[in-house]
Amino acid sequence: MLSKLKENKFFSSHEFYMSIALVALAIFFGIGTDGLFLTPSNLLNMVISYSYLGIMAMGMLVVIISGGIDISFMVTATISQYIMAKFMLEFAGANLVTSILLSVVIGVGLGLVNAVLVHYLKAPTLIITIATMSIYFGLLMYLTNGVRLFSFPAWFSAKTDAKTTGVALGLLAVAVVITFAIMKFTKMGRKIYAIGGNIDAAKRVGINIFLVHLFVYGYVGAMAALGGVVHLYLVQQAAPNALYGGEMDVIAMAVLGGVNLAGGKGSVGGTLIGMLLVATLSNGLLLIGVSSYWQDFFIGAVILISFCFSGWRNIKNREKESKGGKLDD
Amino acid sequence: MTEKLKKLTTAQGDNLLLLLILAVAVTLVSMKQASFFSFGTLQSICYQLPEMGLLTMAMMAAMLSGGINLSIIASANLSGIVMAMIMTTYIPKGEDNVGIVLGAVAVGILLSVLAGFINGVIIAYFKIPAMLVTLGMQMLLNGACLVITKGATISGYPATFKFLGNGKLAFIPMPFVVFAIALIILVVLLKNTPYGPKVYLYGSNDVATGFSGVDDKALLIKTYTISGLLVGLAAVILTSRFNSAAAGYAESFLMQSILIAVLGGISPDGGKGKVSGMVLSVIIIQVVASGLNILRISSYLTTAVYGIILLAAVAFRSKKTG
Repeated sequence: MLSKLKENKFFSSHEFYMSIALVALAIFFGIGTDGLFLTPSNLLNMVISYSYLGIMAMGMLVVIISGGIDISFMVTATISQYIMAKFMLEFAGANLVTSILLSVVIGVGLGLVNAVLVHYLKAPTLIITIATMSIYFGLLMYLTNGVRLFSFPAWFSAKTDAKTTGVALGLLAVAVVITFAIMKFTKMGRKIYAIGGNIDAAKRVGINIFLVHLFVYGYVGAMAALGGVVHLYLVQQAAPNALYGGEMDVIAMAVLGGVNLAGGKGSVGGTLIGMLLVATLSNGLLLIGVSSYWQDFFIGAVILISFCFSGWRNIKNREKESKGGKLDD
Repeated sequence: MTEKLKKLTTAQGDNLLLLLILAVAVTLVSMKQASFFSFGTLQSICYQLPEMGLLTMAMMAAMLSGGINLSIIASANLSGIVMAMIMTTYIPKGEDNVGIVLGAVAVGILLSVLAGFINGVIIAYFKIPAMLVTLGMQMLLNGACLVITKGATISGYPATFKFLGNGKLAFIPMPFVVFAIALIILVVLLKNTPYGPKVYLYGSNDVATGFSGVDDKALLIKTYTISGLLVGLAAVILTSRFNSAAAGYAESFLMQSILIAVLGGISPDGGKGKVSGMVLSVIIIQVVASGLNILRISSYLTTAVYGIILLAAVAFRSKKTG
């Protein structure tokens, strides 16, 4: 029985360990708050308020699998959110579909700029996207003067519990399903894994790297924009500097979910667990009365500890492989 | 003979080019403001340059090994805050106590060294990319800053501490003295000790370096500890010059330090780059900053301009290397 369990891939996966950590944390906070944390309404609100970050994490997952990173996505989300807000305020004929579409198109456009730069400048994607982040953010703040936009038309601002749940969880589900389908069932998905695993080998097999880059960075832009839409709906206000600086939470979700840090590996399920981990940690700490100042500290600590843990497991696995032994030792 | 000359010019060509850029920048700025070319400007640059220089050196140390250190600003802030806490707690307002100031400075520097050391350990022993480790460390340290200060600013330091960032030794500004000493130590370390060739080797090919019998774990830990030490020195100067400390200070310096390093010829892929190039690059950006300031360009637009310069530098460097 036990050896069968061991053979099952899931029980030796990073996702499995992360789920255990998640459940343990949830139980801990459940006890710590006399069950308040585990009430359905709290859990639902928690997932709703982190849904937009979860959507963005789907984009982040894809770019990290491809072996790169994108730091500029929060600014991309802000720009597309801001333009969408402007569009809703200025055009009487705007509706939900055209507004979301506009937002996503802008997100994709900004992502494609990243893709072109990543492809033609032979430099780490981190540095390129730090540069574009600075350019986008500087221009955004300069052009908007930091002015906030609010009081949107009724079709967007009228909120009911059911509608909020539908928008937040619905769009999160859309992002999750699409990302899962792309990575699992399409040729593009396999190509993304391939260039993340070994870009030189992928080139030699004849994969058009440029196309994959265009797709990957466009996709991050699209997911960032979609997350921006949900965020705008939740807070009903577009501020040019509201999202800026929150990049790390999203990267944390993808990284905690066990994306292989050098590219080539990672799963949608893992990233969802990562999202829930970050959400649980922030929400739970707040509920047991730890000042919100501790949040970054704890999330940072959990990230570093999970790095040590997954790094240690990687090394163990490699040792086992190089000894030629199987998992049953 | 010609071959020797060729070798010399290509080795120095990079710096010549940077000198040319510097000359153009200075000319452009002095065209806008004739008084730019004066002893006063030179001196004010000598006050402003060291903090950026030290942070860039910290970035450079990590980049030479093929990594990066994104925790430098958070680390500097934490060091600054802890130094400020110690001084404001143990020295009554308006008084001075050299012993406590030096103690506070030592503790502050040690904190950054420790953060660098932990970065190095996780990168070396758990084989996690430096980018992600230092991002996580950045979050942790930023969190620590917030926990300690609860978002408040700590200011009001004794004269001894103010001297470190604002005073003069003979006619040379104190920050510049610290910068010069750190610079000399880094040059000696890279040129005259076994550490130098090893780190360049590791940066250009980590696998081969591992096989050649170099203790790569010790090398990485050393690299990030040195990076942390430089951050600690920068923290002393920054805190003293700002005359205050808080979480989230100087965040724009992170991008600037990467920009200066790349412009100065430090390869983001590791293994390439000279201290002299970096120093020229720091001066160039300092002149550009003064220029943008004279033109009264908004700080947001300045951020965008730096982003464009970074892209241009990356484009130029990638063209050169093929």
